[in-house]
Amino acid sequence: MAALLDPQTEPTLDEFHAALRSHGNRWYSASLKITRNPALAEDAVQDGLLTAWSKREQFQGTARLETWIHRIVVNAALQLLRRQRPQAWLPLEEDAAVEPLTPFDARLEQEMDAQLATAIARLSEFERICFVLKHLEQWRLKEIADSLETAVSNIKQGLFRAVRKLRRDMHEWRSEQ
Amino acid sequence: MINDQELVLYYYRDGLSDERLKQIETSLRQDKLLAARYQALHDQMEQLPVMLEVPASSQVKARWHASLDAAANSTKSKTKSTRDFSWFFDPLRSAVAIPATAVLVLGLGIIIGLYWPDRQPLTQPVIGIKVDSSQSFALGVRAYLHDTETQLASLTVTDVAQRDALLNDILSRNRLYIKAAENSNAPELARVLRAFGPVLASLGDPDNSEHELQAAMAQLTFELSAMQTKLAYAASKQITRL
Repeated sequence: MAALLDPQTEPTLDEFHAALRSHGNRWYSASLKITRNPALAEDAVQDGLLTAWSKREQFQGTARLETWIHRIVVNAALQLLRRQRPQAWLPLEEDAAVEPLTPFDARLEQEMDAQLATAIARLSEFERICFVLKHLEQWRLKEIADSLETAVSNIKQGLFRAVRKLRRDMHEWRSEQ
Repeated sequence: MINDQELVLYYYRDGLSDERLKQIETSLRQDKLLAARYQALHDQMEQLPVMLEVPASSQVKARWHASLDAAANSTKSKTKSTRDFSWFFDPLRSAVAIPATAVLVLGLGIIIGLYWPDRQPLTQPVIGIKVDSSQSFALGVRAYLHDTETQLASLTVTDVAQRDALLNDILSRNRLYIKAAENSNAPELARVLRAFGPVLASLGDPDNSEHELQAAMAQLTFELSAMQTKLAYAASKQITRL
């Protein structure tokens, strides 16, 4: 879909539907990476879509519509997750406890390298979100800090811990091989 | 000395000052050991997960499309003409707006009431919703609804500060009851409650345009309609069971 729209006109309903058809899976996947919960991820896409629709007048046309909605969906996922588990968002000085594996982790193992899926699951929620937003979503550290309402230094620490754990796991796999 | 943390930031080209970036670039050219360390880190970072897309089910996609259509249709049906938020709390128009919110709250009450095992003789789960509600949760929801009704009834409609305080209070308590519903093994109820959060929040956003407020109200109407549809479905199922 060529969704680089005329900046003078707000996106139409048809363009929203087209963006959803072409990028719905990508939005859902991004939400899943953040929430690790299919129901929350589904809600995040719906919340994000409706928010984007209600704010379509603010769409600048300088980015693609699906990219603009993607960002709103990711924010919706963060909001939903934060409401559900606010305690998990405290940036800890030490490595946080490993979260129990969920059915979603098992599903992930079917979708990607099983070892990498396991490694991701070993991250704390804060570490995982820092890593997903930085490495996969390519947000700036300042943007992540603003979104999570914490200091950039906390985001850096969460990211460092995540990368350190993932690199360590990768090193172990190679040693085993 | 350049540690691995700085190399991670260098890899992302983020979180370092321009001066520090240049220092690291210079060091990488001059220090072979550092260059080797960075190359190893770079290679590993490139292999870190880039997860494949996980497709949503066609049923879920249909729901997203339907909700988008419903929001668009609701927006079209609205013909509000005033330019600021005051229409919602205008003494005349509030005759519509506040009861609409009250109906919303009462709608929630009806849904919750249907799910109370101690309230109704039809204790079977409704439309597949699993409920394991405790007595304290049920009492808490009752109190929440009662207090909200009282607040709405006593609202001074022209007082913006009071209006905002009221909306904030409703939002805060809505969040608490979302959590309570989740803890009470009522995920569907939690999702219904959660759907009202963004709408209520947008009603209190002073930066919202008239169009956005209308859209928020339209969405509220849509959500209410969806709840009523669910209720009708639940009632028909109960009648079938009887």
